[in-house]
Amino acid sequence: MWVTPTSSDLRTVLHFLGMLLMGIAAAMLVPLVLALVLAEWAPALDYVIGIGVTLFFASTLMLADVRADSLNRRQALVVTALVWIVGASAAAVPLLFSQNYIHFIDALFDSMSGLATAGLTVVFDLDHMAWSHSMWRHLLHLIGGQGIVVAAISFAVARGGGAFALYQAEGREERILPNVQHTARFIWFVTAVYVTLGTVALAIAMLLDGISLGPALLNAFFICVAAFDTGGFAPHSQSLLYYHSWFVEAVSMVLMLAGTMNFALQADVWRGDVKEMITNIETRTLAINMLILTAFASVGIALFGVLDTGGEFVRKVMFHIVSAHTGTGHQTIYAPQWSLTLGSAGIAAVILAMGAGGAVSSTAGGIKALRIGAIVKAISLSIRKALSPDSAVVKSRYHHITDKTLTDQLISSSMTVFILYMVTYITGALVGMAYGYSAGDALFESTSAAGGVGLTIGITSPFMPTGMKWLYIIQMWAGRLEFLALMALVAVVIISIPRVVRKKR
Amino acid sequence: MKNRSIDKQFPHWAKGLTAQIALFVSFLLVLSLTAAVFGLLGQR
Amino acid sequence: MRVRSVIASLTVAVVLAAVVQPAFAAENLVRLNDLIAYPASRSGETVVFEGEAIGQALRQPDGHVFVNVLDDGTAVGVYMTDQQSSGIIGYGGYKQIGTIVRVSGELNVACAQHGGDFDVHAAGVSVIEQPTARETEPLGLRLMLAPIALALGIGQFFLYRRLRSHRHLF
Repeated sequence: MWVTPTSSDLRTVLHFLGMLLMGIAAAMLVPLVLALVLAEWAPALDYVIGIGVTLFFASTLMLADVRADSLNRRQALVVTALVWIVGASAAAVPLLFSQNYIHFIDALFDSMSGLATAGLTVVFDLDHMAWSHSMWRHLLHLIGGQGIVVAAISFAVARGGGAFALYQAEGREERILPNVQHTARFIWFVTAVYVTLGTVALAIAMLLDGISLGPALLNAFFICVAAFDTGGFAPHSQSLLYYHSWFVEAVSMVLMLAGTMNFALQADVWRGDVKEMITNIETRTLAINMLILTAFASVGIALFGVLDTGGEFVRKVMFHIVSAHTGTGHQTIYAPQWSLTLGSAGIAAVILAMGAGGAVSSTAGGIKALRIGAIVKAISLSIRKALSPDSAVVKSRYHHITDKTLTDQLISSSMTVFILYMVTYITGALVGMAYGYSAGDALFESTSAAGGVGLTIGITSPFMPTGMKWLYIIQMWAGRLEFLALMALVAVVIISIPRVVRKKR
Repeated sequence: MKNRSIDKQFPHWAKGLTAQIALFVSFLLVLSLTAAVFGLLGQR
Repeated sequence: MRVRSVIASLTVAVVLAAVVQPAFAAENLVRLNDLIAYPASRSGETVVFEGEAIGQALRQPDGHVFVNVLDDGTAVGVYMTDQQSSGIIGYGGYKQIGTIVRVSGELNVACAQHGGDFDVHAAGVSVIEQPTARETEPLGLRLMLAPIALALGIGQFFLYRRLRSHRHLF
């Protein structure tokens, strides 16, 4: 049954939307302080403007209902869908005046890409960007990766009733700890541990390469956050190629793998159940898939004949499979070289890896391992059913935190999401082709956007058509929310129209 | 205060973390071996 | 101090230019945006290009450094000796435009020595222009907007706080 939303529903939604926006305003203090410390005056003012504008809109939205203190699941879905686009708009404000964004929409593109931890970028002249703007871009990965809602909950912005409703709506159906505040705190704890370790390891590598302390720490933090949050932004236009260092790439790969782990799994392992890492259906699916794709790509690329030493296959083939599969998007190859160095087999393997994606309840995007694992099990189950006698009861089991039986519900929800992602990847590719890009390029970039990956084959640039920018913004948004919240929003808008029309008459 | 409560809920987090990193590194080693071996096989 | 370093680097530049100049004689400059689309079959060719040194020099094991050279939004790593990089006294970032260099060297689309990276192994590096301060972004409009935005934001926030604390009246 469709429940028509009332105006009090709307006011509650706006109130909580404002509350979450407050979190974005607070986060802008970080780049502001950095800008002041480094004497980057123009960017510092950009963040003052950003804080002012965001605070104004956040407070105005909260004024919509000053009494609100809880919200139901339906309202939470709409808030969540809206907060990503509204939050991205607010986050774009400080970037608007920057010399690094030529058009208004470019700033929005990058803030959405940052929040959705995609990593596609339309930044201009990145190598001359202010440190504080780089900080903001990477901070967006951190906020969006853990989840805007998680961020807000852990800073007690969204209190009381509704916190769990919001948390679920963000594409995180799993409850890690009974209390949602504790869950949020645990997610930040894992993040803090990995980001600290990763930053230290990368900073040491960069210091040894002769980068001075300040830039080494900042570079290390940026690369680390972008890897762990499976984001893909980097402080330089060459992405990881800038560093010319196998060690930086190796540490990044460990961080990407850590970032693509399910937070529920993470909690289980950190409680001492190390075996879970090996028995979990998601880690198994991810490991098998990466091995198959790496093997397939290596053979194909070897036949293509440009790469020849084992080390090159590790640094160019395996690195990109890991970067794509975890939905990160750190890249060590120039866009035109995808087809020139890796050839079609390499591109195909990377597209498949991007489409599959990481674990559910992680910072990664894509269809995700639990669903792929479930679908594969469902296929084998139906074969086994067909081959067994009529009287036999055939069941399939899998392990995810506990031993579970494969239910029809999991199969059908996995299939639904699988189909929705496929449709999104292909629709995006078709639009790209209509704009005149080649089929392969269009599919690559579309999958990268909707899967929240961020690898680019060269379509994404400040000079691409505006329609393509909107396309990717919507794809990144839809992909991050795993469609449910977004479709709920669309449904609510559609069922509200007759009501509004009736009122007008 | 914050950390203490997490320490209480996750007394073995350091062990879990170490095991995780060890597993990631060994998986990457297997994966790189796969890449190198299949890459060289493909050239034949 | 500044004068002396400028003189020193000019000297280096002149010496380098004198040594390397003949190598450039008949070659055409390539733009990096074109260079990165070269197929692997062109590996081993000598290429010549100009661009700005950015970031910092990245030390390599054997008395070499990697310097990333930027031209029209595309940067390529140039592998050179410490000696060759000594003329590069400034690297580009937010506040300055780095030394502009002319590089001639061997193109590697998938460099066997560096894990298949796309790079150029320099034969000659000469300084074209010394680093300069970058034009700072204008403050005017920002200085006007910042207090207005902040005042509106804080004002609205306190209005909300006030109404929220009297919410039983609504």
